[in-house]
Amino acid sequence: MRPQSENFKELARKNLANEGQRKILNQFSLILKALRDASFTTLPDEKAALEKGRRIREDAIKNLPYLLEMFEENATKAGAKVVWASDARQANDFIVSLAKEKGANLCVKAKSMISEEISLREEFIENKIETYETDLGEFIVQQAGKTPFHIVGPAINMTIKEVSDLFNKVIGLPETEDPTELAKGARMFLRDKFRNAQIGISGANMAVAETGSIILVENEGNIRFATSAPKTHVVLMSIEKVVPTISEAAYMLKLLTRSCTGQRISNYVSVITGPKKAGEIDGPEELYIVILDNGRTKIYADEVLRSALQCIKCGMCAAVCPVYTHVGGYSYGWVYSGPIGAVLNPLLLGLDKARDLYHATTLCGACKDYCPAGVDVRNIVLDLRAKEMDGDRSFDAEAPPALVKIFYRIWAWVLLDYSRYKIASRIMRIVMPFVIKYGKASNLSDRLIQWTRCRDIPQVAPKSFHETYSELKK
Amino acid sequence: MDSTRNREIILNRLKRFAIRPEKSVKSELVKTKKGDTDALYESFAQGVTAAGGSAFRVKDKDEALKTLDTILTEAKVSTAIVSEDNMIRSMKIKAYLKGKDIKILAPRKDRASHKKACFSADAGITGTDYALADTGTIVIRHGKDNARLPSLAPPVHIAFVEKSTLLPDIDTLVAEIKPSKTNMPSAMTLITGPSMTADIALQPTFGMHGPKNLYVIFIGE
Repeated sequence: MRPQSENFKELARKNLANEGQRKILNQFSLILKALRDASFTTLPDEKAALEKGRRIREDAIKNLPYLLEMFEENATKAGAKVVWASDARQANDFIVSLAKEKGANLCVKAKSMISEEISLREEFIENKIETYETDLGEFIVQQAGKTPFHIVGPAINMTIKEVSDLFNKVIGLPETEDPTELAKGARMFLRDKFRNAQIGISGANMAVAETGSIILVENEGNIRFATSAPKTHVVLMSIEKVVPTISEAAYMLKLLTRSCTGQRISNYVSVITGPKKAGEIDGPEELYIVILDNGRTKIYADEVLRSALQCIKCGMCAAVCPVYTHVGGYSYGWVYSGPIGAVLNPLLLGLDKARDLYHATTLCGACKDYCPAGVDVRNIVLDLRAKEMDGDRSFDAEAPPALVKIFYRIWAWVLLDYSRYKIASRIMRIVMPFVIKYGKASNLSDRLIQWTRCRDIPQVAPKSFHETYSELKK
Repeated sequence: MDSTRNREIILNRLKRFAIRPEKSVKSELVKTKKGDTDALYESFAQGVTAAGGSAFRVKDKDEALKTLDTILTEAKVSTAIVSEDNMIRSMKIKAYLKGKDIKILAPRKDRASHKKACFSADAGITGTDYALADTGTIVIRHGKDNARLPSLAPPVHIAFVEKSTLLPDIDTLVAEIKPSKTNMPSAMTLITGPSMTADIALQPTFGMHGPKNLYVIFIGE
């Protein structure tokens, strides 16, 4: 998908005006959070559980290359073919040419954020390979020609009526207000695809170094189909998906499903180790695992940003985010939305292509409090802003206008010294009345003080606290 | 694309900032807590039901077959695909079904006919390797005798669980399978309830792509 993160402000304004969507967002996040909270009460100690999750992911990221080597070795021993790709182009080219080599003309895809990131489905379709998203939400998104609205609920913003109209148009299903009938329509349509597809593509929720296994989590059964019915199964995973052991994977699984959907376990968990063995009648004859970098080794090199790689894509941060729950998923303009999107999109696209995303945050830190993998979004946001102000070009930050820089320099110079501060506030007392309305300075149109478009600067008090204090002491 | 070269570049870049794992990379195996079967079963059945399935407890294999018969009648099953695993074999289910006018599909010839049978059967009947009380989960280690599609493609899945394989939770499952680089099956599936979705307006719907109904018959008192 073509990134539009540059247009955050415009997109956000448009989405904020969509009353219906805001109502859905509001309900959706409340329900999800309630389900999540209830499911966490079945763990002995929520805080300790989140802490353990953070430790497992943090350690896995610390040991990343060594775990990847071990994973590769064990997956290869189990019969998988491991392939390394540096960027989107390489991964797409490899998988497309593999599909062609296998003579595939029909492909079933399981939901995978990384495949959205590299637009794999679009590549397949361009190369005349009929390709279907098979997760119901993703199927709707694909047929509607939209982008995922939420990491876990890609079409959660659409009403039953909208889905019914869509299915009527694309698969000829009679209009209905019953979601069960709509699901059934998609089931019948995709069943033939599962049966006849020559190639199945999935992501990976986790890759286990100890055994070379891929773990996939779902409720619908589409991942099981895509990984069992076709003769070739391609796993596309980014480098950070690896965890050391099955026991640690089992622990993360408990946190993942609880944080995703408030389930203690998802309906299906598949642990896949290599292709089918001799004598097995179903399962893929060949298993390819494509390990993709696509900008992540660069993130890894930065000590603060590295924490973003701990993310397990549960989507909980979005449901508790005061920004996401208002502007919704489309405003982020690319694959990842919510707090994690506010840092991942800029890091993967370049800060200049997604600048507003890491500025449009309240820094409340709810995302960190709820994160089962210990991602510190707030800290990353501050770091990205600092990089921008410092003119650090490592992630393509656009340096601020010279005027802004000078303004902040003066600001800092004033604040660092009490006597300068005192003089400045006296000057403000005199200047402010000229720009003030109803006791506040709002909506100053000057470029330098755009800040006031949604915030007010109150009138400086006639006397400072210190002045009042010393008067009273007398 | 030069995979070997990419590999070198990626790993070298990472290694400049990484540290080696301090402890050996081996699963932590918790000591199996032997719980009281009745309490474990209670929790298991509750989990199955909460996830939208049905659980039945029977005293022996004969009774299990009777329950199977009731389920088949109730679910109006006329064709079935039957797994080849030990539990199913020892119960002589195929012979039993033949006497009941249920057509058994898939003489395991080849991949295509197996697939066809799985996609057209009314029900899939399988054994299980483990069951987890905590969440109401059944676990199947797929292999030569335990294919993947019978528990997935038909609209009804009927699974048998033996009392001795009931474990408290996923941690004890890990301890039981003792994961290593050599002993993992090509696929292992943890199943909790029938297939479901809530992707349209958050409304839970069963029978998305996999079975709409899951019946678990638990054998042993």
